[in-house]
Amino acid sequence: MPPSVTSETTAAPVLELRELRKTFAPRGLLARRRGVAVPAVDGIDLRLEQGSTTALVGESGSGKSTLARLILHLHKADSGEILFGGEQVQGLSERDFRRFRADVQMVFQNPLTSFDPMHTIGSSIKETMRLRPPAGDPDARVRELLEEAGLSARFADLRPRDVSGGELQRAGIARALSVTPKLVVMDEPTSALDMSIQGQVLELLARLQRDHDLTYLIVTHDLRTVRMVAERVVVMYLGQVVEEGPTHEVFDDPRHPYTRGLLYAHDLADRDAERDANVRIRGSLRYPTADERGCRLVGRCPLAVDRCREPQPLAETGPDRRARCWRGAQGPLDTAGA
Amino acid sequence: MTTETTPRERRTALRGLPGEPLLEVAGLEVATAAGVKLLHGMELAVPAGARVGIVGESGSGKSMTAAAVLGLLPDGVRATAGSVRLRDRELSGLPERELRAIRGREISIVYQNAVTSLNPLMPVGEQIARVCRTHTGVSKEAARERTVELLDRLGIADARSRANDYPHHFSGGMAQRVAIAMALICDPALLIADEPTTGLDATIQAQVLDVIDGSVREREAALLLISHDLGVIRAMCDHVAVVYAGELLEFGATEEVLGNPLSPYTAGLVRCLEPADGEIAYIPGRIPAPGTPRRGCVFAPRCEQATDSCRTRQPELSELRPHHWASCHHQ
Repeated sequence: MPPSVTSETTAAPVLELRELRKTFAPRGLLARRRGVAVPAVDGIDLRLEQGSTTALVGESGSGKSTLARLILHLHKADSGEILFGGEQVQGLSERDFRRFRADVQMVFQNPLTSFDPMHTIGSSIKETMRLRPPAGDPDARVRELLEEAGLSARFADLRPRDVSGGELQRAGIARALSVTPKLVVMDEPTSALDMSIQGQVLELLARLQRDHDLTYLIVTHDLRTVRMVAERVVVMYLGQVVEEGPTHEVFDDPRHPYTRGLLYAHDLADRDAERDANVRIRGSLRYPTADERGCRLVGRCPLAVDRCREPQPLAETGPDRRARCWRGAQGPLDTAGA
Repeated sequence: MTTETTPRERRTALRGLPGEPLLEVAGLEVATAAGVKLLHGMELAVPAGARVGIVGESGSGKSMTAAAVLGLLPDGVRATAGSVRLRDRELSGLPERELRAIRGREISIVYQNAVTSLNPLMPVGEQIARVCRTHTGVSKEAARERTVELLDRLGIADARSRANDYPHHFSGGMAQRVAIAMALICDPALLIADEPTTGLDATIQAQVLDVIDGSVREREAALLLISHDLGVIRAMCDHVAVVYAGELLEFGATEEVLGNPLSPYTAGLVRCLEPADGEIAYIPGRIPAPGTPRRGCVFAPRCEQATDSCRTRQPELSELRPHHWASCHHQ
């Protein structure tokens, strides 16, 4: 088991989000059909403790990637606060912001598009390293980083197309570490890799985390990855957190029908008609209209009743666990669905 | 494709499977113009009405095998040896005109990204109806009716009006249903689905897999499902072919192969599929790049059980348990 966050942690969390919100202006056919601009990120609170791994889970349209981009300041939030090491990121001076840029690094899903194809891997890493130049020889540092990521030093002279996807993802991780960050945000870091290779990258991440006391936020739709490395999971649906808590507790006893349906959809084995009728998430993503204020899953949820059309707060479902479902707040979701 | 140099009489090693043989691939070799081999004696068997999955990582040759079966190899790539048989008919070396009559009629395919495999400038209903008319010669109206009926059965609400929409009007999951409709409109004996749900969200993936499952069952068609995801294959297929670096490493009934894997590679994939809580499962190393010289077992460099004989002597694909084939010296 990954080490769990100790409750006596008193220091400020590495990252804290308070009521973070971002709405994109409606644009194009889809938005016009929706009629209303739904916030991509709709009032998210999140705390990442030093040295922990949190997984942000959801499907397309959940807002998980937008949230990652807000944290990295690739998008600007409409409202809410981002605190890094207890400090407001929005108010940072230019110099401190530069430090923030180095302290928070990103690893992307597709390493092929995140590396410049014309440059060697070594020169791409050196480019990033300019944010926080190393004390000694940059080339020696690049070799050291590559070796730490399980690659040989000769990879510094290779170009992205000369190496495999798994190797390039290792190089992407080496690049992120080149500026000694505190927090690494990863957007589907293993989704482009074969199942047999994914674990190699995840193991590397776990080792680097131990060695450097890194904090990870992994954005993914892959529940297998979550199970393997994240001690905490945050499940998003249409811009909101619908459930969060320790991974094994949430996965063993999901308290939001969306979490349960997601687990069921992943677990393609063990299906039967009755379970299917009570657990399965139906249809596809549907944005709420302006006058709908209840649970956003209501049209797709197998358990939906009238009460679900009322606003659903994120309620305590156990120590350190919350879910946005009145049913889940009362106890385990009955598999029979009664 | 060449016709003169290749021995066509070879039969697959995977003989004796229950059911009538529908598709048999034996000793299939595929190479680039530069002579780099991509398939090294691939073997495969799909009995009529069976559901066979091909699992393998990128570069294993799973999609190349499907392309060779359909005679749709990429430019510059050709079959250099081996046989592809559909019932009693040898497909390898058939002229394009004859292959075209088979594709879409007897064997059809659904690709990963449906939107890009459909014509963006034509309403989807018209595209499907055209396939129907090309192969069956029914009237325009009849083809249209069959199309609407099929779209409806595949879970497209308001099918009659949706048939007039263009591909970009459909979401990923719905577009995949359209592609499935196009593949099924002529009731093929074999549907090949090449990563049909990769890239779709899990809840949508489950829906699309159900559509494939139901429609293949209903027609008693055979399914050849290609996926890198062993979980999808386990849920959908009665037989599984484990391929690696252009070779078949293991073949048999899904439950048997996953329950008693004979190849350490298969055993590694099974471990990766269901790691224990907090365990990080993987197979060390990487698949050899095409053109890497081969000696001994192709998986030996990554195999924890490899011995000297694995590194020097190539194991042969043999039936090691009833209806369960593998190529591994350790069995």
